[in-house]
Amino acid sequence: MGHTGLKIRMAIVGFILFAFYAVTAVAVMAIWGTGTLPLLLVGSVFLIGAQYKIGKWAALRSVGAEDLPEDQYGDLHRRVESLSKDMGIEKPRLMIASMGVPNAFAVGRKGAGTVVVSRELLNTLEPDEVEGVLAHELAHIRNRDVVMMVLGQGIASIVAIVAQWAVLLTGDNDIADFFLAIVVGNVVQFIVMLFVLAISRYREYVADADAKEAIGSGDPLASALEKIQRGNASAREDNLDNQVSALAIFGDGGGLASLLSTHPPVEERIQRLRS
Amino acid sequence: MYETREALAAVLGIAAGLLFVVYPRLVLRVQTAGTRPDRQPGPAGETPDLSSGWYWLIRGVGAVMLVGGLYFAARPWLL
Repeated sequence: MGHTGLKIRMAIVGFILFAFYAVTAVAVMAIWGTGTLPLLLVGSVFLIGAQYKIGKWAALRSVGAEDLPEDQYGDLHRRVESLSKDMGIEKPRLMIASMGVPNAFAVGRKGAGTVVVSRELLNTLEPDEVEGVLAHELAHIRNRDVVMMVLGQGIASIVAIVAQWAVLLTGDNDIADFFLAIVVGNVVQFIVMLFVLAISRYREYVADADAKEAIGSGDPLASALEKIQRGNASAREDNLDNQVSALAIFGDGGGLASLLSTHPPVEERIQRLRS
Repeated sequence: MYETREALAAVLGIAAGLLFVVYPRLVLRVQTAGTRPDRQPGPAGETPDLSSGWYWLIRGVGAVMLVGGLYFAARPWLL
């Protein structure tokens, strides 16, 4: 990770997340006594570890990911092997799945990563564009973005759980306390995630820049993003026409969606890739 | 007259309930960020279309929070 901007942002967000966790630890000790600190630390490691393992397993299972056959996609395997070598990481496991839309995601960590691509992505994009998308996913593994996001979500969950119990235990068992505990847990998780998602958006720019550097040009990835965006926009219009997706009625939340988005605006990314 | 916790339950319940009911896609995205990449936006930032069951479940939770929030807002007049 040789990006100064990313390091500075990570330091700031890391400090904020640590502050949330520290306040949580103090709250735990104030409610249950100082002896509970080791329990909180072990519980945190266990929770985050479980989220990482179960999340990876569930993600691969839910899309029905299969190993990308080498005899059928030998060229793709060779491209990923070469890119991995250039980026200084071990070649990740490559998998394929039908996701209904052109999509790709990375799970796992550096040295034990998996990249899943959708059949729709391979059918939609040209080989050089697929290479751009794969380079982007490899950059996520190299920069430990997957682990960072799991850690961020884990801290958000821990802070939310402790906030719920704090509300519950400091109340007088009125129904308002139970209700408030549930709502506060959700609100607190959202607040912590605002910081995690802010760094996630920046990490997307870094992964784009790394992909551009690895393949020597930003054009293939920019072109892939344009194609995917066009395809998704057209699918969304179809959904609207058919009233299939009740979600489309309300859209994605406008400004709120930008604040709670894992990705920065595609137009901005394309502009940076081509600059 | 509202007590602090009752007032908080009303305000936060209504606000969170509305968020869950109106933007279930956003809620799912935030709550699964990091742990479920298959439910996160793809390379171009677009959220994959998931079974609408998830969204209705989130809306159901939101409706419960909304009703709860309205109940606590109205409780001083009900009792």
